Amino acid sequence: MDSGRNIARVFALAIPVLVAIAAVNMSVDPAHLFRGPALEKEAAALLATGNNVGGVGACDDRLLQRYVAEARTEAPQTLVLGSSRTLCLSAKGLELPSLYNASVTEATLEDHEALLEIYAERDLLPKRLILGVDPWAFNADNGLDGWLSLEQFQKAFSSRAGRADNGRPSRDLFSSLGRMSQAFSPSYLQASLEELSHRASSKGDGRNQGEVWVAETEEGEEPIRHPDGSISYAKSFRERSSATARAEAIAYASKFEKSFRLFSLVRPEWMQRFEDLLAFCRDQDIEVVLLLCPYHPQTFAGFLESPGLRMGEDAESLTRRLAARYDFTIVGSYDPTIAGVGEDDFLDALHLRPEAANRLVSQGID
Amino acid sequence: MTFTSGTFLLFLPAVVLLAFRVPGRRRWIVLLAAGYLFYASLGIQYLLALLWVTGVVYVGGRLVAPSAPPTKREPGVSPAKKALLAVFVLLASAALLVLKYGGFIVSEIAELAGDLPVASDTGIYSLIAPVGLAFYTLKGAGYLIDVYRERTPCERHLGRLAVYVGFFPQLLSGPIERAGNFLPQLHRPAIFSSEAFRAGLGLMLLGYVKKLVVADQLAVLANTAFSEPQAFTGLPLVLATLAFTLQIYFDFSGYTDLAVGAGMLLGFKPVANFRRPYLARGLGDFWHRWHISLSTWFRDYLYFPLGGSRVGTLRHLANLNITFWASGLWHGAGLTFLAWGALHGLFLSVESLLAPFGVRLATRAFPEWVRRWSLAAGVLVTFVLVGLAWVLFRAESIGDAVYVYGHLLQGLELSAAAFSAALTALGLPSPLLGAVVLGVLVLLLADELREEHGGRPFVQLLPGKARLAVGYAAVAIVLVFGNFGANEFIYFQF
Repeated sequence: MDSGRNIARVFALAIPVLVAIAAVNMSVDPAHLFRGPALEKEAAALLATGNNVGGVGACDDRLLQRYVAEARTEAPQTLVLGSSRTLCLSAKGLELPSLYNASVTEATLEDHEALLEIYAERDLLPKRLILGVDPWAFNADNGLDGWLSLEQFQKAFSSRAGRADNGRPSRDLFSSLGRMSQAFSPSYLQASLEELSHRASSKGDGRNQGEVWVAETEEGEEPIRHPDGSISYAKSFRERSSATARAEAIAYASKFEKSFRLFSLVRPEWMQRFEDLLAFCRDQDIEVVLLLCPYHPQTFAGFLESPGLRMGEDAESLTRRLAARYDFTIVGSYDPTIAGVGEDDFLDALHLRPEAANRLVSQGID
Repeated sequence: MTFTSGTFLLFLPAVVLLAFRVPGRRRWIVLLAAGYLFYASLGIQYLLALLWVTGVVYVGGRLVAPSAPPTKREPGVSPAKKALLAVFVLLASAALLVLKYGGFIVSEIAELAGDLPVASDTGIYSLIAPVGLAFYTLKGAGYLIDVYRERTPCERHLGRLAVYVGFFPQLLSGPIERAGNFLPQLHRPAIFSSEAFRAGLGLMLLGYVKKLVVADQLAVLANTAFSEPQAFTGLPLVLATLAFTLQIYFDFSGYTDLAVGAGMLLGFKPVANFRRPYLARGLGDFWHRWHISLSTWFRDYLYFPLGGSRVGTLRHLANLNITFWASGLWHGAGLTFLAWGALHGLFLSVESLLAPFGVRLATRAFPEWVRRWSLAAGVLVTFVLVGLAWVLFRAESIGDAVYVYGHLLQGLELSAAAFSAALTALGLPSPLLGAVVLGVLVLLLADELREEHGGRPFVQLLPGKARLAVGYAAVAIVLVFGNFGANEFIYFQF
């Protein structure tokens, strides 16, 4: 047998590995790269027609927000941008009928930029913006890349702000190639395995079904998304006791928070990003309420004992400084004592009960 | 494109297939094109430095080579050739001196000069310093000296010499292979050996496990502490120092395994660069085991020409220290690297002064167990000293290193709770640490077995199917536990 064939035979041993990686990546597809946005479009259409929707956990919530915005015909008076920590803010809870909550899980500054861009492009900017500011958003190494679903809008916002990262939206050919290369990506494989493990631990909450449906009630066994964008948590989560929340908060404080990894200080370019966002709102005459969602007292105490985790402190002082500079309202604090909330107000380490969250934000609204 | 990028996993098989498909006399074309493509993928401007070094070394080699065989010329050194050698070694090193040390020298002068109008924008030098320049410059300079000393014949084929300087598996971080080993292999037709090929693949897999699973996870601990050491005292600093000590070994020996493995796939013989360095029984022994291709380079081209140890005690100590200062500066244009080299020079000076007492003690009739324990103590002391020296290597400034040294033992608490808290503060969850510790132990055992079997990976000793199973298991471990972030190999910076 000649050397060429021999070499090819050895390299062919890699084929089963590549096939296995591609099979897992394309079937689990945690970032929804290989399936079309049909599910998000369907959920957005249901929400736009005033329905409560179940099964949205299977959706890419960035894309969902994009399609909801595209389905809108008029701007909301109040728009909420933030992470899962602000998802429970509702029109009913805040007594603001024209409120829409566009929060997305694990939100970063890029998400806020992209979503604002979508609303700006459609001339749907609100009069008031409630902006949940999470400390990890200031970590350049937070490893959160959900915003890539809205990359073109984020880049357009950067361009609008005149920043160096203002590249044009990727060409379709390159984005398709990039997407296909993810089929063989080890990083994407790790994300797929994590997703599989997550699905296994949350079996039965509808995520596995890969479909969305009209929910008959406002609250049920599973999470429900409302037409105002807010969420009702799953029954098992919303009815948990303070003791359970406390135990989770202590456990959370003792483990390392992935998105805080490698943080040493807020980098100047990240401060600039945040300031660009606020300057944009000011230029558009948007009244901004900056919300610092508190952490559970046990978690916050744990953070204080961890010298490596000073992110919260830095992020809060930066946000307060900029709020003063732009004359924007600021409510809450990462410190629960300053925010005026107690252990009973939490569902876990970092999520407030809806009534507590709405109460906190009400303080900043006329 | 680097060894850990997906593109490289497509690039390497293509080059290997081509290199064995073309006629032997044209193999250099494939290897040269591959080397330049690989290097250009990191920055097309980097090719300028590679071309410069190659051109200088080629012309210099032709000029310093003896003009006639020894039997047909007068004995003695030709002063003209010696001067030419000095000029061409300097020219070959010019890119390195300007691009790597220019900024450092200018900034130091500016600091010394105070308000004097010295150019202050030193950043430009570090911006364009090509990765791997320090490695292929040493290869080129070593080749010139070997040709001058007639230890290797002058390579008259520009293409083949260019392959030697720009051989892509060794381009970025060595090993710094001698021309006398490499060029004869390039002249011979490539003969495919499935055993060597499989060994090369096995070595590459081992390299990926070392780098992606172990080194990059240990990096989390070291990076957290060394990015802001003032935030820590006691146990976190001890753990971070230990983590970096292990990280740099697994990172660099992982890189070497990948480089040597890729070379073996292309039909080249392996080069030794590490031999269980953390089992060294003294500092001298450590330098016989760590980055062997670099330490032998400094030994042969600097330490020996200075007189080595065959001179008086003071001169010998001076030679040792000069060699290690140079080695420190070669690693980086900064005071921390210089201090690291100086510290090793000091350690070796002390060891060399104490050596006669050690020999005297060893010749006395001590029981076997005393000897055994003293050897173990030697290994431990060497490990601790080397680890402490790595603090200077990793710290971002001398001030940071001094802080770490001063606070390693402050408030040191050795309890399970303190250990867990330190790990949390440094950013590595305890369960992941368990996996990393297991990985460290398995890899150290693999090193041990490899040493026992004459440098062959132990997997090579298994029957075919078991070997395949171990290979697939290693791939699975890399895929599941590997850190695929953008952590470059540590030695790329040199």
